[in-house]
Amino acid sequence: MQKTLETPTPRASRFQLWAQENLFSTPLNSVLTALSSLLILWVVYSLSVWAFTQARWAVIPANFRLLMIGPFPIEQIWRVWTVLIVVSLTAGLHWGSAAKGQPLVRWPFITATLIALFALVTQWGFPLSILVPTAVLAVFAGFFFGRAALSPRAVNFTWLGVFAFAMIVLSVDFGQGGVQTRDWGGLLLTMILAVVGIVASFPLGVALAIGRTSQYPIISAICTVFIEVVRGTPLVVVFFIAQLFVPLLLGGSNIDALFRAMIGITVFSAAYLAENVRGGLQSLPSGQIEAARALGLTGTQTLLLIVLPQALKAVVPALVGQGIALFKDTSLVYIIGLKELTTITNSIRNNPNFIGTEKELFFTISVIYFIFSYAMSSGARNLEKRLNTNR
Amino acid sequence: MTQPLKDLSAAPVAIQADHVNKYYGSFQALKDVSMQVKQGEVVVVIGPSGSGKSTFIRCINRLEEHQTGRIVVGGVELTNDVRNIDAIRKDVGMVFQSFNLFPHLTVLQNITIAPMRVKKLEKAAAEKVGMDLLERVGIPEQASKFPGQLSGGQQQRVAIARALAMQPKIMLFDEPTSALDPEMIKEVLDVMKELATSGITMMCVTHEMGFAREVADRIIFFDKGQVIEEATPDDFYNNPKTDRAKLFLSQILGH
Ligand SMILES: Nc1ncnc2c1ncn2[C@@H]1O[C@H](COP(=O)(O)OP(=O)(O)OP(=O)(O)O)[C@@H](O)[C@H]1O
Ligand SMILES: [Mg+2]
Repeated sequence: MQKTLETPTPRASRFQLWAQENLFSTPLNSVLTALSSLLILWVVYSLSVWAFTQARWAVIPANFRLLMIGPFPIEQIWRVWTVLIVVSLTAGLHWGSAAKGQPLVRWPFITATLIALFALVTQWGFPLSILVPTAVLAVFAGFFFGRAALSPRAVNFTWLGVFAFAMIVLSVDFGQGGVQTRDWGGLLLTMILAVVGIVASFPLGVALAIGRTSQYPIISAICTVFIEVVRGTPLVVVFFIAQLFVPLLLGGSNIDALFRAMIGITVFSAAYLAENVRGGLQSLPSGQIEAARALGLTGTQTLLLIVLPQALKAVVPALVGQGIALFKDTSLVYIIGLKELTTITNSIRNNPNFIGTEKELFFTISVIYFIFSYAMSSGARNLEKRLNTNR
Repeated sequence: MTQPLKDLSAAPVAIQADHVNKYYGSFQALKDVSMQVKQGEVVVVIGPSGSGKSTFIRCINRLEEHQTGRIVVGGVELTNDVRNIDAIRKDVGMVFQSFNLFPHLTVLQNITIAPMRVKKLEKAAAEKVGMDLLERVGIPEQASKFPGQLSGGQQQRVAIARALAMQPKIMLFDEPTSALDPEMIKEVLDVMKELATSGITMMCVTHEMGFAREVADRIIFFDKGQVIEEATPDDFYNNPKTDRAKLFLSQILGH
């Protein structure tokens, strides 16, 4: 490695060296390289043949709006646009504040954002030809402002505000009729569920983890039972239980179905998250707590300033894995009739006009799921790098 | 080599231990330990592995709890009263064998965290204190690094600075150089020697004989949870009175 970097060799042969070292170092390695190349070629070839000669891609543009926002009323679409532009701006701020003094390399983030923006291009007409560039501009404006003036912490609070803003804009009646949450759908609903689940399950999971390791037996017992019961229940069942029991617990049977689903996914994810965080808590050497207490920090200060930051840092990969799993698990809300991305796809496939297009549909949504999951895991890698203090 | 004798007879008592017993389950780690340390005194605690040195020193700031007997630090008795414990911890700094720096905080943050959170010092004031201490332990240029980027000797000096940032009246050291490579021991001992001559009360578990002879006022020898012998360094190293001390010295001195 070191040597190939130092010797001033032309590009081609540097690649040859790399290939020799990594792909053909031993006979077995060469065979494996050859076999996997064949496999990759075969998969790519078959997929290309299908994609370019057989696939009927027209189903995607014809249903793009459904895929993105489900049955959201078209005359109310300005709500979605407002939210998207505000989100674009905040994404830009986020991206900019995190990239202080760094070059523009956060491509996964921007890709995901741009996809989300273009997501709504159903037909090119007056509003869209203005709105799409506006959203893109918002990303860049946010970026340069964020890089110049904002701390990452300030942006995190901005996100919370943006989320509340989005919930209001997407539903509340401002005089010409509101939008029911049951009309939210597609990728929009998937994102809302995932964001709520990830954001809300985090504090709950951390609290459960701390509770489980608590020295007070009652608290520890309650948290343990809660965690184990939830972890012993399939998510689908958790959704059903949330539908049936949340009204019972909170009173009133007209509690929003989406809200119940949010509670279900939050509780489910929190239980797993708690176990990850507990692992982080237990991996911390006892000397850390002793040093903090010897300095006179209180138990709470020790927990918040010394223990939690390190425990959470240690489990960042697990937490992100959890977030990605949750993002994809949102597809299970089809079971309670919410029309997120997968449910919508399934219903398009059953539309007589689009019989036989499931390959195109499921291929497309798998790409969409992948882009967001990949953005999350690549964001996590950046985060880990930034948090690594042992360089 | 030997320092001019301090006159401690009139000095107030910093640490008083009376008939202290400490059990881990059924195992008795401290047996009827009594001793007194005067303000400004430098005491070195030695003894074989497992003899209860760490246990005793950790009882002084309540990292361990003793079961019977009395420990009074700076006039405050250690009881289950959290206010007493907090008061004592504010006045007692501790340095550990394994440094125990906070790896997620920079060197300077490690030092300023307690003054800011416990004493509620302003950030700027705390950082001033922190930089002065880093100057004192000889590594001001490392302020913005993380502990993981420092050598062991540097880390231990940061740990000393961190403890000093609370301006303690008493400093406890539990084998501060045992985890260090030989070439780094001196830089830490030099800091400790400077500290010892500054008038602070020090109780230090260490087998560094040079250090003990140079700055200690007294050696306390532990064995099997008991204080076996107390003497000046010269007396202790030249004429140990008990057989156990003789045996121990012959082992660590290798003859
Ligand atoms: N948390 C604990 N639980 C049970 N026994 C313990 C615990 N901590 C220490 N002991 C025991 O108490 C005795 C005294 O231990 P201590 O750590 O005080 O010895 P030490 O003199 O510091 O030894 P060393 O030189 O190895 O550090 C030992 O026998 C040890 O096994
Ligand atoms: Mg010890």
